[in-house]
Amino acid sequence: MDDDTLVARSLKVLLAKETDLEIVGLAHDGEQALAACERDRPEAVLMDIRMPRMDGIEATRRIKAVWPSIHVVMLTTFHDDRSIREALQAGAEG
Amino acid sequence: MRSHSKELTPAAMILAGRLLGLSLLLLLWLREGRGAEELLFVLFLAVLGLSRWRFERQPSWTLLFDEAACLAATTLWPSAALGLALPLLEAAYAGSLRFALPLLAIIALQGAPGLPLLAAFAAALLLGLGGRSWSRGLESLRLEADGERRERLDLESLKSELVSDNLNSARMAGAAERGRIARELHDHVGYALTAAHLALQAFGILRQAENGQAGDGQAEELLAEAGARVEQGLALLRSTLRGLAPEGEEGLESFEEICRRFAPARVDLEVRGDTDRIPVFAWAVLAPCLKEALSNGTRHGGARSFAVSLDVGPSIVRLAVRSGETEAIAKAGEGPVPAGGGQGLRNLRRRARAVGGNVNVEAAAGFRLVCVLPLDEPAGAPS
Amino acid sequence: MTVFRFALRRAFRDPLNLLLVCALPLGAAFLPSVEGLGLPLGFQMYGAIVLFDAFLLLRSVVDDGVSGVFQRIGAAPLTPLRYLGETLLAYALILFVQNAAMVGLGTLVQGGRLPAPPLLLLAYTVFSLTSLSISLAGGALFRDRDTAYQSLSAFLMVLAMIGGLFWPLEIMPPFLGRIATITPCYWLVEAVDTLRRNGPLGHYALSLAVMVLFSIAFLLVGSRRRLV
Repeated sequence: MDDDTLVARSLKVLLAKETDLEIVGLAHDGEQALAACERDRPEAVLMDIRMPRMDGIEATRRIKAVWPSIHVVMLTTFHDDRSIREALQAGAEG
Repeated sequence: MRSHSKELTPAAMILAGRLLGLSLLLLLWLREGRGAEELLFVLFLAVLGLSRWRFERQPSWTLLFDEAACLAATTLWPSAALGLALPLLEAAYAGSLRFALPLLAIIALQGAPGLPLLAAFAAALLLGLGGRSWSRGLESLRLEADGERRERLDLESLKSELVSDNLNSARMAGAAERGRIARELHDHVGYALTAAHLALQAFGILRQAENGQAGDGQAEELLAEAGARVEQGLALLRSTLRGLAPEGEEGLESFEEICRRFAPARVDLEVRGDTDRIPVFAWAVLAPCLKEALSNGTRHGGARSFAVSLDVGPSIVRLAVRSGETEAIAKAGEGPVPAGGGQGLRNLRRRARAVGGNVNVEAAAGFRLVCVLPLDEPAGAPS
Repeated sequence: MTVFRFALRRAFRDPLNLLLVCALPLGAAFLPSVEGLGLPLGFQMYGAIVLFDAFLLLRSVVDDGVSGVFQRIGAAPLTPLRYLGETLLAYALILFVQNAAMVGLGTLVQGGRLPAPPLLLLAYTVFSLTSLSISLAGGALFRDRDTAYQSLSAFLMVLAMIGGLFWPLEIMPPFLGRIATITPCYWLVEAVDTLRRNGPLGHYALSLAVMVLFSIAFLLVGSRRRLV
């Protein structure tokens, strides 16, 4: 889940190389992320923090509330202790 | 403090009046050939007068002793009435003329005083009143001067605080600005480069997967977008740097400009060390030091050339300004630099002290100023 | 009474002091009478001896004023008045002992030629206080030691001469004789002369009272010292 399409596509190519991973969906904001989880029921979600319409932390909170079994891993370039703390409090696994 | 005050004071004037009165009494005693009892009276008045001089805050009612002695003496020696001038002088000086009222009774008892006696009383009264007025004037001036000194101390203390706050603000502003720059670079430039890095990695994988065969164009697309992101990052970096670049001259440029533009004398500037390590608030002390040194050296020392050296060491920066050939010292009535420097140099010393440095000035042979300021971080220390 | 004891020790630290203040004056008791003088010569001149003895003793106080000791006392828990008071008391005691020895010796040596020894001792004692006060006042006027010594010794010499301590006042011109009456020395001579003539005690007391007032006046002048 990343609002930057270049980053999303690059990550998809990089992760496709891993044989034990299957990319089941892409989203560009928090609401699309929720819709994708509803539809595809992934085992893990790679979530960007800063996204339009709904940020990654809120999306994580909602995913964890509805589907606690989905593992959420935050992926971001921002060294922001507060965001990391909020993400962990929202239920992110890392 | 001075060991002796050679100025005339109200107390000295009154003492002179007392001594004059006593001398006149003594002369009268000598001339009239009086005896031991009369001399006792004169000595008694002398002791009372000297005790008032020695112990300054005596109560005014002690004047009654003087008057009693005069009354007793006049029964034996009519000329002793002159002694009444002394308590009159004291009463007028102390501002307690009510204690001089018995004088009137004594004089009335004696009968109408002659002109010399009246003149003596008038002189004593005027001297006493004049001394009192003068004394009160001096006292109020002293209080005023004390008040002004207190205010000046408060202002100087406030000035030191303001200088110190100013420097702290400059430091904090610098730190805040560095933080802002770091965040901007990280948020925008860092992000763009990270995205480009990921795209290039993905491109590499796709290229490998194609293995020399024509692919679906995804790899080329990723490469192009990566390139675009790198360009975007560079543009962001340039605009950030452009925003950082100060307008006008700063630091060393302003220093060099001061030396170049100083018309009254030739200024040779020599710089050693890395001047980029000199913080903004240090330049704010060094530049005024240089200007003040150049101006003082020409105004007071008549210097025609200066040698300025700026040395940046591992932990200090040292500015030395030395005058070269000079004209005669007494130029246009300016005279030598006043002891301790003028107001400008005093301010500079204060500002240098506020950042932990100091300013020394020598004006004995030519003009020499040395300003040493500490640098926050030693050269090569990790940030 | 630390300053008192220190002043006593200090007075006798100098061997010259010991000689001039103690030994020599007592030798004056043995001087014979001279024709025309009412008293034995030594006692005629004893007033001058006391005057100069007081000056010798008070040199230390003059030195303290000049050297800055007096200023430093201001920083100690000791008031200037106490310092001066104890010092003067010590020197007054020395002079009193000298006076007593002189009168005692004189009574023994000169016999009946010394009039009323106790009253004579009292007169000399009062005059000792006056002499100390004069030297104190004189020393307070100067800041340079040599100037103080020279000026004060010259002044005391003139005072002694005019006051009739060296020779009878009758041989002096009338106007000088009149001037002499305003010096404390005259009143010592007057007191001693009253005793010698068996004159009225009231006149003797008046002479002493004049000397006491002189002492107080000079003390007031000499005790006011600027500390800075």
